[in-house]
Amino acid sequence: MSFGGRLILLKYVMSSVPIYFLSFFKVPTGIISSIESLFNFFFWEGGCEDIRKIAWVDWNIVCLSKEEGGLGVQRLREFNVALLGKWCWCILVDREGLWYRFLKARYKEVGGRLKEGGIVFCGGG
Amino acid sequence: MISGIRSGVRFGEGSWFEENVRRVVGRGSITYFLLDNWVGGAPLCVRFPRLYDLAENKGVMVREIARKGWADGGDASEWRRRLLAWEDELVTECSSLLCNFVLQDHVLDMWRWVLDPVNGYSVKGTYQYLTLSDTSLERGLLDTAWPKQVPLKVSIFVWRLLRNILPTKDKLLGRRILHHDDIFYIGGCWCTETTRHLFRCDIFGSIWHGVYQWLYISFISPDSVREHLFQFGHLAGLPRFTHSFFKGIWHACVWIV
Repeated sequence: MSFGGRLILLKYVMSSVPIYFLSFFKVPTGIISSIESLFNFFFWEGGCEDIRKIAWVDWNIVCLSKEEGGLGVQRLREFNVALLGKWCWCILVDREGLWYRFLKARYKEVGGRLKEGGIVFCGGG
Repeated sequence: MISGIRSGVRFGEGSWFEENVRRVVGRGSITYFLLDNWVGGAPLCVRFPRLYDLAENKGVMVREIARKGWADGGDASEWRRRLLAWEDELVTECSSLLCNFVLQDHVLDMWRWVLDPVNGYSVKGTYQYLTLSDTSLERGLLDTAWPKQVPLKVSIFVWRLLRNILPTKDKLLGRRILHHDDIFYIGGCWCTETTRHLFRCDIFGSIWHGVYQWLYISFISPDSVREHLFQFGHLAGLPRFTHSFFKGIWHACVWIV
């Protein structure tokens, strides 16, 4: 497969495979680096194990956006955190949602906020 | 599960989440006076830690304070002991922060996402915020490698050219794949093959000459590849709409070379 083909496959297929898990679990650093090394391996060597090929650029540069001189591949760690942040935002805004009601039932609500120790954002505390 | 999210947001990237959330006070009845980030860019307990320690009622709401009036230091609330002189100054400073603030009775207190106050939180925007780097000096030039009219393989080729990571022979030598006696350029001239060489040597240089003559322009070839693209793409004195056209030609030429 060509370089461009691998890039497309990597960006649109392989990076979306873990999205479901990224969206709800904080992924350990070790797992992230092993997934990224799989990506890296596929991208530069085509996933073929017999022939060693050269990774010409650092993975961090590949992950930069195109405007910054990379190829715009998604960075898993930051993407993970951004997806999780969405849940925190939902706690603040979507008070009628199932997510907030679930947490309220589990951790109790005090003064319109979830109880301290329960969840993220209890007024800077 | 939940602690996973909490640690992801709290400890993962510092306190980026809390830094980007603001309380927009309307009625002020469900906003904590000391704990929420609602005025002046930081919660008052962070800004005036001393006063926070001394306050009797730490969970007081904005509305209750407002009823008693900002002027009393915003803290008509009771203190645990008499304030010292310098602590009184803090109170004055605090109330000067509040003096222009007016509660709106018919508006509810809301949250605001600072990165996108209009639409609120978005994963895409946050991702961009988190991956923002300061090393974007070459911005604007490197993204010229991705015009829409050009096929992907050419774009990637140009990207590798600009990044200077084409497998030219000097690179292969550096990685000990080739021997010293094999490094001369296929063009037949006696110098090492490098990316820059693609623009300078006799044979390929003459291709560029041909292009310049075809376009009726005089052009002095700059030394580095990036400047070459930049100058060629922004030829002075020509209208803007020709720029993308020129870039297209540039890409085509490089690909052929």
